[in-house]
Amino acid sequence: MKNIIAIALLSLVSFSTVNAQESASCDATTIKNEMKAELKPDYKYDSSKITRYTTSADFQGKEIEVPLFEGEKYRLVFNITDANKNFQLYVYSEKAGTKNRKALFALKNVREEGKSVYTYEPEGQSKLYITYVIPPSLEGVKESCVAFMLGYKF
Amino acid sequence: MKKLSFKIMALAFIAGTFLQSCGGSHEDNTETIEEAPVEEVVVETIEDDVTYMLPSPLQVVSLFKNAGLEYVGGITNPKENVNNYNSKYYQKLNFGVYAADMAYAITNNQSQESINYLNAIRELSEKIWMTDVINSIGVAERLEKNVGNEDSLVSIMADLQMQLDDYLDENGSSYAGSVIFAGAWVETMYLALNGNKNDNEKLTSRLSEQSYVVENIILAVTQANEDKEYDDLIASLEGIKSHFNDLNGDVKVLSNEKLDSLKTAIIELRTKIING
Repeated sequence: MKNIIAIALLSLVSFSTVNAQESASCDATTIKNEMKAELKPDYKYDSSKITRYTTSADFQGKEIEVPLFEGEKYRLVFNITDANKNFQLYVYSEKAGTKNRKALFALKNVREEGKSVYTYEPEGQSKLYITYVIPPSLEGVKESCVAFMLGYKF
Repeated sequence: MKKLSFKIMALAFIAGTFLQSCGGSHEDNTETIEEAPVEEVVVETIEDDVTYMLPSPLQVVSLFKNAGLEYVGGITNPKENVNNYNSKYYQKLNFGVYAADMAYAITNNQSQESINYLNAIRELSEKIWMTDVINSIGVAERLEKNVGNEDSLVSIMADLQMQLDDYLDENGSSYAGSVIFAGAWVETMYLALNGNKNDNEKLTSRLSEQSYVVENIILAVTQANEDKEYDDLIASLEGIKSHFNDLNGDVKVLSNEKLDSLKTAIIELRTKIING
């Protein structure tokens, strides 16, 4: 009998783990305030985007196209606090599907660093293409998000 | 939005996932996930689900100013016009126009003008249900306290932009932002083309670079055009974009002739926008 109860409880726990829809807080103000601190004192806020997504059993990808102006200094800030575990981020020189596409910056397997805010300063680009790769999740469905902020030297 | 088509070569990852789903303890599974060979994941294409970022009006105006754009009084959209905009379409576009005018005033130390334009923006924000954006960070009070201090005024404008972006993000209205920015961009182009005296090379070069921006505006507004309400705007912007068609790897700056025709197209669209 004990075994049956244990199996039933275990099944319930496993079922809940797989199916529970967790939500990261993704609070825009908190996330962006952390990022804004990374722009000070030299960079002014220009624009930002919080990308919300729900993890699933499939690969997902999202791209952000960022126009830049020649000779200007930019700082890109990313906040992955509320991104899922295997989340990956790349900054490319060209659009997806283009031959000469080159990865200029990448964040993958960085959880162990204990950091959640990262910066990148591009040089000589007129456009940047940020790609978010969201691998399949076996941890159940989870609402997650990643934030991007662009600052420019005023 | 259309479903994303995202081709990824991730055989090793899939193999790993398959193996772990076929057997092994829970602990083993966790380990496999953490050690998933992400190195071998290669993104090939993303056909949709692309976000087109647009620079803030403040950045564009600052860029033009640094290239030599001088302040010309009386060419911005009169704030009295704010009461003429009765449709959401023109309210959003003119919200952008006034944001650009405010940025123009701030970067040229026209403090009173900045406050006047902030009031125009506030009135429009109430009409498009974005009142909190203006009130939440006490922009008006901060502007008044910092009259004459360009650096502070610029920071306040940047904060206002962040607040607006937050609002649009939180309320799932990012697409409305593209229409607002379209209005702002047309106004900044209008101000720069009207202030481009004596064939200022630097400014002409900056104006030429805007081809990247108009391209992104069109793509972003098109994403917002599910109900076809922005067809006219997109058509006008496509017309403006065509003036940049001669630019390529060798030709990076617009000719005087092209600048003139671009100016005519911008004036035409800007007149339509501010007349509501």
